[in-house]
Amino acid sequence: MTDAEHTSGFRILLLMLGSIAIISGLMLRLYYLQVIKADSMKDRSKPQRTYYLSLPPTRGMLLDRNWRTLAANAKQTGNYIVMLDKKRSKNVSETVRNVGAILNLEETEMERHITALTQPDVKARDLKRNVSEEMKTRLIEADIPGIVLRDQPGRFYPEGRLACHLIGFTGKDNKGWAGLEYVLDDKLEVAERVILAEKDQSRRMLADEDLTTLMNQRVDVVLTIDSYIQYVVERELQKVWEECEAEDANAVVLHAKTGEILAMATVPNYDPNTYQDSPLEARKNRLLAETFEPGSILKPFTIIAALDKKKDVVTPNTIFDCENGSYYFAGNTIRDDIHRFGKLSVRDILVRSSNIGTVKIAQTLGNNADDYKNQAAYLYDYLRRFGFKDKQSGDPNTTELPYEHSGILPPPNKWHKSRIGAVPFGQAIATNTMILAGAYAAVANRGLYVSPHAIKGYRDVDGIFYPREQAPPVRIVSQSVIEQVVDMMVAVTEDPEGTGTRVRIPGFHIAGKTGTAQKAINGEYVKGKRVASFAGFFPAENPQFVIIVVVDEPRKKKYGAEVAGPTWKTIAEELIAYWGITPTYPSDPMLAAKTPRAEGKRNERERKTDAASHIALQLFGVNGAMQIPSQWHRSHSPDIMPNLLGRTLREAYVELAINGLYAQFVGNGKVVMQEIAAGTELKNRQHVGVIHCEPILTDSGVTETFTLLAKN
Amino acid sequence: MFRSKILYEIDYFTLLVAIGLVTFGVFTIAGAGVNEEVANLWYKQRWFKQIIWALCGFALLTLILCIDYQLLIRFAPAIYVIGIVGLLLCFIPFFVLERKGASSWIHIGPLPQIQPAEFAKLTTILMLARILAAKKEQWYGLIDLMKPLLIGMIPSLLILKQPDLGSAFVFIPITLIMMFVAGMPYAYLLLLCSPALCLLGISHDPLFILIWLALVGSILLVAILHQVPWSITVPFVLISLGAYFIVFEYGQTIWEHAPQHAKLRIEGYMQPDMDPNATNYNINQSKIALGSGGFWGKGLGKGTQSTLKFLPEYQHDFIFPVVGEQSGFIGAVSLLALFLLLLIRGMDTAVEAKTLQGALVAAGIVALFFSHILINVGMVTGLLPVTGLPLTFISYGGSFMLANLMGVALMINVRMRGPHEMLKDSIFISRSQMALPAHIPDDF
Repeated sequence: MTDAEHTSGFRILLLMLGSIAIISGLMLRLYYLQVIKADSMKDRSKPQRTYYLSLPPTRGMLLDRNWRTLAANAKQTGNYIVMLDKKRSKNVSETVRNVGAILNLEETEMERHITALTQPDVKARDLKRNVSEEMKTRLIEADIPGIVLRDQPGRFYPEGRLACHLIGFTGKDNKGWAGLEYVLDDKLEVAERVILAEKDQSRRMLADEDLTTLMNQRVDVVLTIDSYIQYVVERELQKVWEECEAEDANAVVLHAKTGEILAMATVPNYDPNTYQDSPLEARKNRLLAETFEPGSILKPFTIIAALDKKKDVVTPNTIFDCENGSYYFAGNTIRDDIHRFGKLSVRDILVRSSNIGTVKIAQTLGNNADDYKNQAAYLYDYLRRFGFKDKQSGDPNTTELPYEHSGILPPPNKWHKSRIGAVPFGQAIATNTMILAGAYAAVANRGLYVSPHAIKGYRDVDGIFYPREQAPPVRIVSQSVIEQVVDMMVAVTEDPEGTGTRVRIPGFHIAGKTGTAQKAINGEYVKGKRVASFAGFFPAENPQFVIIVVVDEPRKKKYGAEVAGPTWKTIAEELIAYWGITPTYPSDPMLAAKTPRAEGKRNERERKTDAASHIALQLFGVNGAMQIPSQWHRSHSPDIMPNLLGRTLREAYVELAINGLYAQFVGNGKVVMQEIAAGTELKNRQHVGVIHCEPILTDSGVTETFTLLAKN
Repeated sequence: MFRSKILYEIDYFTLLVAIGLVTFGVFTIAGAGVNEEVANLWYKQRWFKQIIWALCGFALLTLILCIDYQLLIRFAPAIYVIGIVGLLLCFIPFFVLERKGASSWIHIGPLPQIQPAEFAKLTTILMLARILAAKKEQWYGLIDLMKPLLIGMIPSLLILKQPDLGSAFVFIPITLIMMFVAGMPYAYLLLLCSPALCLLGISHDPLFILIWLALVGSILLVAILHQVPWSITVPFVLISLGAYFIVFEYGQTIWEHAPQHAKLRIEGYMQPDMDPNATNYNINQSKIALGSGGFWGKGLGKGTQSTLKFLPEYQHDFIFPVVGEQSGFIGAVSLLALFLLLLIRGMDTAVEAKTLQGALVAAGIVALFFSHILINVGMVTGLLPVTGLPLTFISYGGSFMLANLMGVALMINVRMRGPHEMLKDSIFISRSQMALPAHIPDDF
């Protein structure tokens, strides 16, 4: 037999049992580790492969209505943040002291850092911000383990001074200090977020798409401002401010239908990029923070109150005695400054701006001329409806902007009788330009009040736009009354006797009102100190824009019409050219000659700023080349077919384009037929069929044609 | 030499288990390497290389099956010398390829890098089988005892010099188990182990010293009762006492002069939860990997510990935690069960081997595999101190894969040339053996 028999099978059996026992032992150990201790091991696995990553704060950008950047992010040059990373530092307190010695930190500050860093959940801490380049070099030379230097985030305003008061600026801590930057701080600033990130053994962060998204997570705020209009307004204000050697000047351009602030500006202004270098006075947003007595531009509201409240007593043609320019009332003598009037109709009182006449109209509000309590109550009531406010009563602000002084309009039970002799023509009441703009927009909208606002919506990183919910318009006065007043206001600019004839723009009916208010300092009206203003909207039949120009203490010129009027007119002209507003009545030959000038100015502006992406189409017509911003709001519900009849081809095209609709146009000239009747629900339709147009004959006998040129 | 019925006689059971283990290993390596930099080039990935190595290994296995193991035993001294020469090459700077501080790899010309230690283990087993089988139960003199010990010690010391502590240590269980199977009396075994046993009693505690005295006394008693020659008893008792006193007196000094990494490893092993020197990083990561795998595992390629490279050496020595993390307790236990099947089959092979040499070869291979498994799994589960030793069939490595499959080849070789009359005694009866026609003579 073989040797195998001699090898003891028993020994191998022993070995076999031994190996079974040992492998079973290993299995038991595995059971202990993988089943019994599994949860605690999982707990240990997570913290080491994940870690808390702190993403530096990013601020949302501020954009104009065409998504042109008004406030962007940049890193501050020569400014660093010194951070201590606990993991990499061997001895926290020693590191803090070493850094403190270089950065000259105070003992108490260092103690505070050390105390904070010894907390187990604190992984890192900023030791100092605003560290200079020199300090940074010294820190790098010192080579202290655990010290991390990172760039300090900052803000850049590519448009410089443009809309500086609205936008405001951020401080060194990258927090908003003024303007929208301050108001929207919570919305804009995505705080330093700490996220749970996965890493591998060498602390390399694992590529994670979500993380990239998170890094870029911010919300941009789209403003209603149009950079170009803002530019025009600022340019013109600067001009008038310098020309008239005024204290300050401010202006608001509202989109009448929506209350969107297209431009709001105050001079003197400043460059938010270097706000430290500008005087404090220049940084003040006087447009909102300072109130003034509006003067005559308040008269329309007094007249509206009387026309609406006392329909049977007061009509536009009701005659009032203007007392030949001097009227003694409640202990004061009310005067009509320039001209002395005898008997005037309500219409002429507004056209010629008679203070005495306005007071007389206001007196009709009561049961009789002496019933000043009711007069005050009704006048107050109407002014409130138009948005005039009283700061002392704690009225809220008109816009989202900070530091607004909402005005002075005490409740009627506090009115002395003499106020009836002042408030109707805009004295003894204080307000700001924005509130006035809102009130004028209500007139422009035929009695529908829309609140002025500066924020159009929000844009996320993917470029998706989320419109901001806006308050719906509120009817405050009946339309018929407003129509009467609008007629009077048109007469202000068109009647030869009117105070605002300087702002006439051929082809357009402009409704406006001049104002030349006396300025009170410490309760006394100071001679020679005035606030000159012009407020108005156009086209009067279907108002698009409300423009208010206020010039404070002009030294060279005196009256609203001569100071603020030309500025108002230039802004309006630019708006017509830029926005492509069609003249509403046959224009005179002057118009065609004038508008290319505006175009030239626009081009000048275009050169200054980078090309905007808003060119949707270019239109050629009597007004020359014009651009329609693609982000132009939808003035009409997109689901309902608008009424295009009677409109020019270009108007119809724009109306459709802004609502995301298109059509086949046949012919040229004015729309005479539309395939889908106005008011029809479109139900996701985009093509609205054939629209027929026919040429129209102008007064000059020239056939006016409108040609379309769609451009990508 | 070549036998036409080789296909009938191959021990398919062992072969299948080996294939299963290799497949297991390839999948594990593939799962652990999903995050590798070369991950986009499939042919550069380790799992693919491992498959190539395994195919080479199976080719080599087939080749070895064609050669009767007794022929190999006959040439064992020459083979052994080749193994030693391979180890000696590790000391020649021209050939050596130092990696991770150890000169364990050599490269000869265009050949891939070779780890001679892995092959030296097999050559030593063959040599030991030859020597021990020649003993035939004649265990009388010190020389008889020292001969196999010396054969085991030469490659062991050469490997220790590389240094590769794990592989050097493996020779001890191989030698001892093979001597045990060869029929060495238990008393001899006890004496052989006595120096190690003595060291267990080192303490300044009087109680421990008493226990130790009792232990040494009983070892002596056993030796006398079993009539172990004094020529053996006396040297071993002296060695034991000497070792004890040296460690007792100079232990502190030795400890202070011990290599730093060894000290840290032992300290870490003694205090597994405290991790005083952060030396337990590896073992903690390994435990976390195993534990976080839980019962069912995270899935192939989804182990965070391995793919995120928290686990050190996750394709070599720490491959088992990858198994545990990816396939959970179920996977790890299945792997151990597969190992156990292979081991038991190997021991069964030893029982039914035709010759004592064959039995010893099988036992040696089993001892080799078993030590690797025990030391590796014991290490990664925190039961044993950290010693770098790869896991049989699973760890990545060309030489290792070839050596493992050669070991399997030897096991099958022994079995297919064993006496078929003894089939009824064997624990497992494989299908191939059942199908074997009875009339075919054993040898022709």
